[in-house]
Amino acid sequence: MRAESLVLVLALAAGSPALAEELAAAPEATESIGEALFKRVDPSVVMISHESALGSGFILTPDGYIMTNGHVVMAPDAEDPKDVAKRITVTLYDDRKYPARVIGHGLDPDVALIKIDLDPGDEPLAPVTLGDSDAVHAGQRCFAFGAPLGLKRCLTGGIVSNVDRTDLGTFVPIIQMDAPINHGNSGGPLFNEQGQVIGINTYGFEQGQNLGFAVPINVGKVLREHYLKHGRILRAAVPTVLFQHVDDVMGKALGIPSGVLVGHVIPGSEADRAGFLAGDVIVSLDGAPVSAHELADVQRFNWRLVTREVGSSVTFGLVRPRAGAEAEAREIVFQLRQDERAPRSGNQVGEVPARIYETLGLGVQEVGAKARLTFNLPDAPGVLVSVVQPGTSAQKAGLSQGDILTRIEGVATPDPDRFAEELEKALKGRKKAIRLEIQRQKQTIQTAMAPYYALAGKKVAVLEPAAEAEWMELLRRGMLEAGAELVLLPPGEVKAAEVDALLLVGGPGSVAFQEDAAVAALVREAVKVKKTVAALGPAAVAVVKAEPSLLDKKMTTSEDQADKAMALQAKYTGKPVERDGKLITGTGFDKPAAKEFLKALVRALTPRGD
Amino acid sequence: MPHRSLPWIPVLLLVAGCAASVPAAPPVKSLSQLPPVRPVAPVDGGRYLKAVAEATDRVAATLERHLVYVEVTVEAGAGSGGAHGGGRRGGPQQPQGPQQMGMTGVVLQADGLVLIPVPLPKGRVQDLKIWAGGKEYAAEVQKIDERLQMTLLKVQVPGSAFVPVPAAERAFPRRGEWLVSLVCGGKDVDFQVFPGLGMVRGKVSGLFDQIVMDGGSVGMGTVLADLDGRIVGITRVAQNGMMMVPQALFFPEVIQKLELGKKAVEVAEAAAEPEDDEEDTSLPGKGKPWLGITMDPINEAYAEASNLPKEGIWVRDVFGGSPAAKGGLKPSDLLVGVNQHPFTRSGPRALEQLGKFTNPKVGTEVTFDVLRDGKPLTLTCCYEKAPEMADLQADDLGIQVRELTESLFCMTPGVYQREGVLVTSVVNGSAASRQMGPGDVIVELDRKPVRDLKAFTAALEDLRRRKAEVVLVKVCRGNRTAYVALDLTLRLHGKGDKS
Repeated sequence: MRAESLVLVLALAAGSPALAEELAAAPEATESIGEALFKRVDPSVVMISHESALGSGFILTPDGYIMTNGHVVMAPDAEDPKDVAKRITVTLYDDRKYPARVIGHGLDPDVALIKIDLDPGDEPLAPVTLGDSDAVHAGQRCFAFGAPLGLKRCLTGGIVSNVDRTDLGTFVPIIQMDAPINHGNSGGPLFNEQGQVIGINTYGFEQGQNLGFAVPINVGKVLREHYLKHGRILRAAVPTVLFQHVDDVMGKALGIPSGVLVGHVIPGSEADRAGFLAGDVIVSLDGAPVSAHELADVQRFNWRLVTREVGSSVTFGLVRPRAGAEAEAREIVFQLRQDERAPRSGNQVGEVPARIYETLGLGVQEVGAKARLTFNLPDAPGVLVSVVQPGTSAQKAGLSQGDILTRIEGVATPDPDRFAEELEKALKGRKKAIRLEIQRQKQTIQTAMAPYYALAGKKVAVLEPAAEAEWMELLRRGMLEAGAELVLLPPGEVKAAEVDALLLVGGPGSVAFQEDAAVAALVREAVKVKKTVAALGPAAVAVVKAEPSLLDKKMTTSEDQADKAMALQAKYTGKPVERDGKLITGTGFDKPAAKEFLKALVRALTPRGD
Repeated sequence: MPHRSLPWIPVLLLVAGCAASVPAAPPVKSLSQLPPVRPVAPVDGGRYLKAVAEATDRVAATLERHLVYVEVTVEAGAGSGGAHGGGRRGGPQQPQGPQQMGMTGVVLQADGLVLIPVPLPKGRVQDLKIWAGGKEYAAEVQKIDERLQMTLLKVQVPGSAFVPVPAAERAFPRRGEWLVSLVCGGKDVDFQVFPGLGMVRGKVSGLFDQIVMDGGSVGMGTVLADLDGRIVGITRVAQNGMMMVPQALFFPEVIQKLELGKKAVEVAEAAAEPEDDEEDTSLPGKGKPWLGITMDPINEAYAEASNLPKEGIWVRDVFGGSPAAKGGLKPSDLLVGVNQHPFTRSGPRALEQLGKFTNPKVGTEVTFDVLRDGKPLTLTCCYEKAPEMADLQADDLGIQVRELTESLFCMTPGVYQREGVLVTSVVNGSAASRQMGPGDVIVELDRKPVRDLKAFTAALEDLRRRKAEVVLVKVCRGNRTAYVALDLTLRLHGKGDKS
C-alpha cells in the first residue's frame, strides 16, 4: 500500500496522474502486444530469395498473391528495367517452399506483386489484414517483420517517426520509423498495434541508426490493382511536370489562399491545348476542394491523379490570378492520357529500356518531352546517352551521360531504332572512326568514336533456332561490335572451312538442333577442320551429341538439359560458361550468363587474346 | 594488350641466345644495323667523383648569393570563388588558420626584386619575409603572373644583400646534360643553399617549354643551374602539392615573359586587385582582354574520319558584337594556327599552344589560320576590354543577380532561358534561401516581365515603394518555369530597406 501511494504522490507532483497510470501499466502491455502480434502475423510473412537477392514479403490472399518490394524481384539488368529474377523462391514460416512468378513490379513506388501456386491439398495460406496508412500518425507504435540478413521470422519494434517523408526523392511521401530494419527486411510488412499492415519496409540509411522507411500500404493497394489489370503501373499524364504547393507566403503572393499551383505547362502538350497556363491554381477536382500546403500534400495529390484510370476525365476547378484584376475562375475538363515512360533517375532504373553496346561502352534510350524538362536536357531530336563505361571507345569520344546523340555519320538518329540502324551500319562497315553529333545542353559537339574490332576479318556462322531462340539479339550485337562478319545461312549451306567459328544460339527452341542431321553434319565438319564451336543452352547438347570427340571436353548446358548431357556421358559441369579448347558452351540462364558466354567466344577468336 | 608486347619476345630470346652463340636469326640483323656505339676510354672512378663534387660545389658557391629564403603566411581562404558563389554550398564558411610556407627566391634586381615559383593567392597574403645574407627583410607582392604561375616580390629597403643573377644567354638544355639543383633552406638550417645533381631527360613543349628532369634531388621550387654556373631552370611549386615528373621552366624564357623592363616599378596593389592584363582567357570579366568566343579542341578520331587536321581548335560560340565577330570568326570555324604558328599538338595541348603564341592585351591583334568548310582563311581580331558585368545585390530578396547577356547565357551551364536576370548567389537565411538558387533566371518579378536588369530594378523599386510584404517571382529553372513566393518581412539583419 505504501509503495502504491508513493507512486501516486509522485505522479500528482508531475501533474499527470493518467499518464503515470499508463506508464505503470505499460511494460506488461508491451509484452502482450508483441507476443500476440508475433503469433498472429508469423504465418503471413514470407522470405523471398532468388539468384541475386534475398528479401521478405507478405501474403495477401489464401491462393498465393504476395506483396513485396520491386527491388526484391528485379534482375540486376541496366538494359531492361522490366526484367525480373529468373528463379524466385518463396519460403513460408513453416519452411514450405514454392517457386513464384512476378505479376507486376515497379521501383518507384517500390512495390511488387508476385504469385505462388499451391498444390491441391496444400494447406491454404494465412493472409495479412491490410490497414489504412492514411490513418497512421507519427509517434504510434509499429512493428517490422521479415528476414533481415536472412534471419527468418524476425520481429522488431519501434514507433512511427514521420508519415510525410519526402526527403528521399520518392514519388510518394513515405513512412519513417525507428523499428530496426536491415538488408533482407525489404518487402516485409510494417504492422500497427492491431497487427494490420500499414507499410512495406523498403529503405534504410546505412550511415544512420534506425532510420527506416516504408512505402504506405495504401500506395500498395492501388498498385495491386494496376498490376493485376495491366502488369505494371499505368500512369496518367497530369497537366504539368511538377505541381507546387501553396503555403501561407505563396497564398499571400498569389492572392489565393490555398490550392495546388501549376508551375509549368509543356508547350504543345495536351494540357496546353486544354487551356492550362503556368501560374494557374487548382482549387477543386471533380467539384471536391483540393489544397496542398507542403510538398507531401503535392505528392499525395499527384499520386491520386496519376493513378486514376487512363482515359477517364477529370474536371479541374482553377483560379487564374490576373495582374491588377480579380482572379478568374475556370473549369477545365481534362482527359487523362497515358503518361510517357519515365527514364532512370537516382537509383531507380526507370521504365525505359536502354540499348547497350557493351564493347563500345555506350547505352542509349528514348527520351520524352517530360523527361527532358525533369532532367534539364536539351530539346534536340535524338536519343539520350544513358550509359558511358569508363575506359571504352564511348568515353574516349568524350560522351557523357545526359548528352543527346543527334546524328551518326551525318544521319539523324531521332529514336533508338534509327540510332541502332545507323550505328550498326557503321560497325558492319568496320569504320575506323564513327562520327557522332551530340547536343550537350546548349552546345552542338562533333566527335567520333573509334571502336576496337577485336574480331576484324573473322567470320562467324550463326545458327538460330526456328522458334523460341534466346539471346540472339545480344549475341548478334556483340559479334557486330567486335567486328566479326556474321554468316546467317541454313546449316546445309554453311561451309565450315570458310568460317572461323560456328555459333549455335540457345533457347527452348534449340532443342530441335539435337535431332537435326544438317546441324550435326555441320558441327562434325567444323570440328574436323578445327574451328571454334560455341553453343548455348539446349544447343550445347546438340553439339556434343553430333561429334563424339567433344564428349571428352568439359561442357555445360541449361539445367533442364543436364539429364540429357549426362546420359550422353558428356563432361557436364553446370557452370554458367565452360570453355575447353575450341568448344565453348553456356547455360544461357540469364543475361549475365549470356554475356559471359559472348565474352568467352570473343576471347577464343581474338588472335592471342588469352 | 598481350598481342602488342609479344613481338618483343623473340628479340629478347635471341639477344639472350647470342651469348650462347646460337646461330643468328633475322631480328639480329636489324640489331646489327644500329650505328656502332663508340668505345669510351676507361675512367678513373675516384677522379670522376672528385670532379663531380668540385663542379657541384663551385656552382653552388657561385650562385648562392643570388638566392634568398622567402617565408609567406597566407590566410586560408574560400578558394578562388571571388565575389559570388560564396553561399552556394550552404552553411557558413569555416575560417581556417593561416598557412605558412617557405621557399627559395631568385634575386632579379639589385633594388630588391625577387622571383618565387608559386602564384600567391590574391589578397590573402598576410605576411612576407625574406632572408638574405642572414638578415630578415620585409617585402610585398609586386605582381602575380597567372600565366607563369609565379610571383614577383619587392623588398622595401634592400641594402646590399640582394645581388641580382647576371643575365645569361644559353640554349635550352639538351637531353643527357647534368644540372645542379639548388634550394635555399630556412632558419633551422641557417639559410644554407643545398645543391643536388640531376640529369635532363628531355623537353616537353606547351604553353611554356619545360625541362624534364630525373627525380632525385630535383623537387618543387628548386633552381637549376648548368655546370658553368648559369641558371637554366626553375621548378614551380605545384598548387596541389603534387608533381609526377619533375619539370622546370626554362629560366631565360621566364625572364623574357616577365617583361621586367616594362614593369620595373609597379606598385604593390597587385595582391589586392585582379590583374588587368596578362590573363590568358577568353572569358569576359572586369576589364580583361577578350575576343568573345568559346573554343574546344577537335576530337582526334573525328578529325581523322573527317579529313581534318588533328591539331585544331573548334570555335563554338561567337558572341554578337565581340572582337571575334568583328574579325569575321564564326561558330564551327576550325582554328589551325595562330600568329603564323600552326598548331602542332592536339587536344588540350593545342589550347596551350594557342596561349603560347598569343599575347592577350587590349589593343593587340591576333591572326588566326582558319579552316571553314575545309577552305583556309586568315582572320585578324583585335582584343578589346571585356564588357563589364555589373552584379546587383537585392538584399531584401536575399539574392545577387546579373543581366543575362549572350555570353553569360552561353557560358552558364543549365540555363536555357535567353532573356531575364540570372541569380548568381543566394544569401543564407534570407527570404530566397532554400527557395532559389544560382542558375535560376528570373523572368517575372511581382507579375511584371523581367527581360533585363533595368526591368528587374524597376520592379524591385516599385516593391520597395509599396513596402510589399510578399512577392511572387517567376523563374526559369533549367528548361521549365516555377513560381517562388518570397517573404520580404524576413530581411537580412532585421531591417534591410535600402530605398
